[in-house]
Formats: sequence, structure tokens, C-alpha cells
Amino acid sequence: MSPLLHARGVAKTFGRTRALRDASLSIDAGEVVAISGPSGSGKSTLLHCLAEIVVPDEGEIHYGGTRVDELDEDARTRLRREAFGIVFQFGGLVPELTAEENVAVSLMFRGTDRAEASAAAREWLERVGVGDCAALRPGELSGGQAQRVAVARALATEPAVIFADEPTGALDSVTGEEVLGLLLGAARERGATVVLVTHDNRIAAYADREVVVRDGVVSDVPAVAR
Amino acid sequence: MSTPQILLALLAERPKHGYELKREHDERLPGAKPLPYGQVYSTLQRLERDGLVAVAEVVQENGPERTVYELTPKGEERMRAWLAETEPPLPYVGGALFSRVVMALVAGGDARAGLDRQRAAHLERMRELTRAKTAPGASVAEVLAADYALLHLDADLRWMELAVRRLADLTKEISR
Amino acid sequence: MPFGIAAMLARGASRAERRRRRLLACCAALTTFLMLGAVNLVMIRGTVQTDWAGLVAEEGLRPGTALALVLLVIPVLALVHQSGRVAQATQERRLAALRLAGATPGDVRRLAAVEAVRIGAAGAVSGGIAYVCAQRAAMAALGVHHTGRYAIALWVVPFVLVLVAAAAAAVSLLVSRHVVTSPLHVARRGTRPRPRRAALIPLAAGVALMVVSTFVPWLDLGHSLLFLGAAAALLGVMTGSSRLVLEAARLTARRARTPETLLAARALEGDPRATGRTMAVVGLVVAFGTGAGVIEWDVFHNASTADAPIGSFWLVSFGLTYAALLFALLVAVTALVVHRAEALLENGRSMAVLAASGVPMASLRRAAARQTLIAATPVCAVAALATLLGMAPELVIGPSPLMVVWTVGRALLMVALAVAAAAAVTAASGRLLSRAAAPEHLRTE
Repeated sequence: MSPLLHARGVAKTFGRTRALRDASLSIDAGEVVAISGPSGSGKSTLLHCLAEIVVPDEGEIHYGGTRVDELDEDARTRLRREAFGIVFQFGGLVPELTAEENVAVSLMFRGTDRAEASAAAREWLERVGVGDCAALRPGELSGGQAQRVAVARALATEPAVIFADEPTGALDSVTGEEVLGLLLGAARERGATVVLVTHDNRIAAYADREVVVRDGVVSDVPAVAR
Repeated sequence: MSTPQILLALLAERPKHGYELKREHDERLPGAKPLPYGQVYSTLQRLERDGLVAVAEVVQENGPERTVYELTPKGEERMRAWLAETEPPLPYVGGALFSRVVMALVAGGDARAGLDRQRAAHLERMRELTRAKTAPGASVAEVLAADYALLHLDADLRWMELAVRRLADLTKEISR
Repeated sequence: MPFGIAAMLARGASRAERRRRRLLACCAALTTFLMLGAVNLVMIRGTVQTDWAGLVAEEGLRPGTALALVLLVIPVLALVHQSGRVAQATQERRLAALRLAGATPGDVRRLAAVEAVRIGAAGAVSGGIAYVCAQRAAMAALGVHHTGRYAIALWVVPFVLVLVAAAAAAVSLLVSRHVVTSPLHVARRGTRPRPRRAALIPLAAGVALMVVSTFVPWLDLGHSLLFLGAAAALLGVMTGSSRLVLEAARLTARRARTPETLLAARALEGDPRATGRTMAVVGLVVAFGTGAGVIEWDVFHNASTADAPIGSFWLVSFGLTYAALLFALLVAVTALVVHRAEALLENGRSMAVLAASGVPMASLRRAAARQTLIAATPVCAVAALATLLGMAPELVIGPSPLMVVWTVGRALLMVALAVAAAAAVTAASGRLLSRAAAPEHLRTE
């Protein structure tokens, strides 16, 4: 079976900084993969390339057997909308929308009508344990609550792949593990693939497999190397 | 090892016999090395000799005879004193991992490859512990035990990352 | 001492900061130019008969012209206020650093005022020079003989310059009252009161008066009631524009069926004041434009019934009116761009996250355009309606079809023009949006 996500020889330069030099990895459907490495190693850039948010300078990215790095911006946007869900370190919630609306809007952008989207949003907020915060705005939420809302937003669209960039980076370790547990629990239940960027070994241990980025080079660490 | 003190603490609840003590030790401290029955027996004898525990009664319920021990006031005092003590915070820097890295350099081995292998092994163990603690129905004691181990492994891993970065300097220092 | 530090700070300014300063200096120059014009007009004595220059040459018309020039300062002030708010965002960190270095809150405020005076003075001086030169050049070009009669007395110029520089300092202090600097961080007073419902009272009273007056057309009072109502409604648009924007946003948010509309309405709901202020200016432009339309109708109607050509006085006056309205609209719309830049500076990250999660840029642009539409439409519509009813009561009392078509058409045209201008700006600021939503903003290190 061919892998769901596959990167080969990906390189990306920002200005004079070489963020990625030679990144290759394969991710199977339903796998939970952690991308780790010291700060500035290029792990977020790798995630952005895999998630079709930035276009790599060199190399290829395949999703579901088709090459996607050569698609135009519209097609890549559509792919992100239809197949991917994303969670960032600082929620990135729209500050003027309530928690419920933040989740609902991402469904509405995918064509769900407002009443249905609102109902689904409430259900998801309930599931991640912030049902009573539905009417609050991000400024009124704690860091953990905001991140739960961000998780609900990413999960609500039932994506095939969830990309999480330091999803617990701004949280204390107990809250962080709770949020991650929710994210991975829901993903595994649906057989979704998760790509998780983290510099925290204990967060990486939640994954099935770890990939280390060092100075822009990716090494696939074998699962068992005893 | 603090096996005598652990047995004293377990006896604080109520008088117990040897097999009960072994079972409760393994249950309360999940993930710890299981206590061999022989050691329970010998430890109890030593505690009795020092007047810290005393035989409460000998019972026989359709099986072998079992000696039930209870805590003496002196034992209670010793156990409380132990709980009140602080654990000396790492008086000697040691550990097999540390010695192995330094010795690999002394003996001219490939410390980097060794560290990479060790890192993979550590992470594999961390994944195992994480799976155990997130498994449905894991008890609080099991989660706490797994977290204790995870945090220690994490500390090891972070030390290894530092070691990888300082490997060149360390090699220079040793070969001087 | 603060002058030395202010100069040091001025040298180390960033590009955005320099751009903002240039904008502020421009505003000061414009204000000086307009104020000098008004003072100049008021100081001319006597009447000279001319075909076309009546607005300047006739004793009775000059105060009105001067008032128009002073009114044009309003949109400029709105722009100053808006760029002052952007300044907060960039200046905050700098001010906090100064507090860490041992400056007292008073010192910080003084520094900001010194900087404002510096920028204001620079702008005022160039505006003054520009005015004097422009007047000389204009008089030479038009072949005016009694230049001494019309030229501004040079001794007045410094007074106006000082006035403008002082006003700059006052505005800077006024803007900084929303910023509290502590050594560790600068907090914008987050809980600024929402615009009150009471601000809508003049508007409601005005509309009520207008409605009542249409039911009492047999009274002579009808006319003056209608005018009074229109004036109150127009005043209400000015004072209540923020609340009007807020109400429109709330209503739209409740009914929104698309995510773009929901985003737009909620963004307005979160910060109705800044948009409201700009929209007040746009509403004023619509009101004056509609009023000009009514006067035009009178002039054209009279000319056609008397079968006489339209005097060049009217043509010049209309031309100048439209030039002034265009100027006001341009300035107001620039203020809108500045506000948009500020909003994106603050919320750029959430836009970047939306874009990353697969929301097309076109949708985000649509949301921005709708935001402008939701705010502009009610304010402009009320302004046009109030002016129309106040200045052309015949519309309700005894309308002639042609008049209805002409005046209402002009009002609609003004509304459409203002809304389109505002929307066009938003569309033009799409580049700002694309930059704010760029994936680089997703990096947190």
C-alpha cells in the first residue's frame, strides 16, 4: 500500500535562512507521527510544506498517491479545506467570534448552513469539555479552554489528516496532555492521520512514531533500535 | 532500599500477613520491581527482632498457617520519622547511562551512534509507558507511576541531547 | 532633556513609524492650509461684483465659504485620530521599554507630546508656506489686480501655525489616554465602553419630528418642523454613527447565513467606534452631496422656467462643492485604510490561521468588503434621507415627479458613491490582507 503522505527531498529557504535542506518521509493512513527537533530546526516548515500551506523550493509532496506541491493555490486551498485540519500553538481563534461561532465558521466555509453548523459546533465543544464556554469570546477563555476550542474547530470538519504545530506549547503539562489526549483520542476513533510537531519528548511519546529534524535534515528514527 | 519502611507504612493501616504485604506492595507501587516473597519474610523477621513489628496472631484458613504482624509504637515512630525525612537530592552523579557515554569516549568507541540508539530505546519505552497510562481503565496509581518514569526518561533524553551537542568538546577534553 | 530623548527616538524609527509620521505631518499641513484659507476669507472686507468668484468676493457669502473650509478639517482630524491609534500599537512596546529604563508615566506622556509637536510643527510650517505660495500663484494665474486686498496678512500665519502645533499635542495626549504603560507591558484599556444607545436619541427624535411634520402639512409649522427634524437626524448620524454601526452589525450577525458575513459583522461589533467615526465623515459627505443636489434642482429648475442660462457663479460654486466633497471622501477613505491596517496588525494571525485551514483569500476579501458595506450603508442612507427631507420638504408635501427623480436620484447616487468608495478602498487594501494572512505569520518563534 502506498503511503498517504509522502515527501521526497523537500527543501525550503526563507530569505537567507535554509529552513529545510533535504526532508523525506512517508506517513501511512491512520498513523500518528511526531516531528521533533530543537527549535529552529525546520520542523514547523516541514509541517507547513506537508500541509500545503507553503510551497517547497525543491522536492515533491504526494498526498493519496497524487503529487500536490505542483497544484495551483486554489487547488491547494481546496485540499486543505476538504482533507486537512490544523491546530496551532496559540489557538489562532478569531477574537471577535464566540467559541461556538469559531467552530461553526469553519463548517460554514465548507458549505454547511448556519443552524446545522451551530448545532455541530455545540456538540464538539461539549465533547472537548468546554460546552459551557460556547458563548464566550477567545479573550474570555483560559489558554487551555482556547486550545480545546481550537481542537474542536480542527476536528469538526472531520479531516483525513490533522496537523498540529506545538499544540501544547503554551499550556502547562497537565492541561497540555489533556488537550492532546482529546485530539488523539478523537483522531484514532475515526482513523484519522495525525502529524504532530513538538519539541517535548513526552508529547512525542504519544505518537506511534517519531521523526527528528536536525538542521533542516530529516531522519526517520526506526521504531525499535535496541 | 526502603523495603522495611514500605512494609511498616503498609502495616499502619491494620495488621497484615506476609503474602498480603507483598500483594499490596505490588499493587500500590505499580511498575516498581515486584517484591519477592522471600524478601518480605526476611525483612519482617528483622523488623520483629528490632521491636518495630510484633506478631499479632497466627491464623489458619483452609491452607497454610499465616503469621499476622502489627506495628509496634516504636515501629510507628520509625515509619513517621522516615516519611518526614527528605530524600537526598542526587548526592552522587552516577547512573549507567552517564558512565557508558564517558567510557565510550575513553575507550575510543562511537559515543554518537550509542547515543542515537539509546535515544530510540528511551523513546520506545516512553511510548510504551504513554500507551499504558492512556489505556482505558488505567488506575490513578498506574498513571502516577508512568508519569514518574516518563519525567525521568525525559530528563535522560534532554541530557542526551545536550551530550550530543557537547560531544566534540568532551572528546577534545578526554583526548587531551 | 525630553527633547534630546525624543530626537534619539525619532532617529531610530522603523519604516512603518516613518510612514505614519509623514501621514501626520501631511494632516497638519492640510489643516494649516484649510485654517489659513478660512482666516484669510474672514479678514477680507467689502464686496466686489464678479460673475463667478462670488464665494470669495461677496461679503455675505464669505463666512459660509470659510465655514466650509473649517468643516473640511473634520475628515482630516478623523484621519489623525485613526493613525494615532495605529501609533499606539507600534509605540506601545517602545514606551514600555522607556518605562523599564526609568521613565515615569508623566515622562512618557511628555515625550509623546513633544514628538507630536515636532511632527505637527513641521507639517504646519510646510502647510503655511504652501498656502502663501499657492495663493500667490493662483492670483497670478487668475489675473487678480488687487492682490493686497485678498492676500493673507503674513502676521496671522505664525498664530495659525502655533495653533495647529498645539492642537497636535492636545490630540496626542487625548489619544494616549487609552494607553496605560507599565514597565512590563502596555495595555490598551480593553474595556472601552460600547457606544451608548443614548447617542441615537437625536437621530430618533429627528426622524420622529420629520414623520410628525408630514402629518401636519396644513400648518406653517410643517416646514420648519421638517427642517428641524432633518437637522437633528443629521446631528444624530454624527453622534450616533458608532451605535448605528453597532446595531447594524448585531442585526447582520444574527441573520448572517454565510461565514463571510458573520466574520464581517462580528468584527464590526467588536470595534464599532473606529469605523463609526470614519463613517460619520462619509455620512457628512453624503449629506452635503445630497444637499447640493437639492440646490442644483432649484437652480436648474429656475433657469429652465425662466429660460435663462445658468450663471457661472453657480457652476463654479457647484464645482468647488464637488471638489470639497471629493477631498473629504478621499481623506475619510484613507482613514478607513489606516483603520484596516491597524485591525490587520492586531488580528493578522487569526486571518493567517483561517487561510491555512483552507479558507480562500477571496472569502477573506469578501468578508472585508462586507464589513465596509454593513457599516457604510445605514449611515449613508440615514444621512441622505435626513438631508433630502430637511432640504426638500416638497418631496412629501407636494412633489413634482421630475423633482423626485432628480433629488432622490442624486441622494442615491451619493450613497452609492460613498459606499462604493469605501468598498473600493477595502478591495484595494487586499494586499494588506494577503500579507497579514501569509503563512509567515503562523510562525511563533
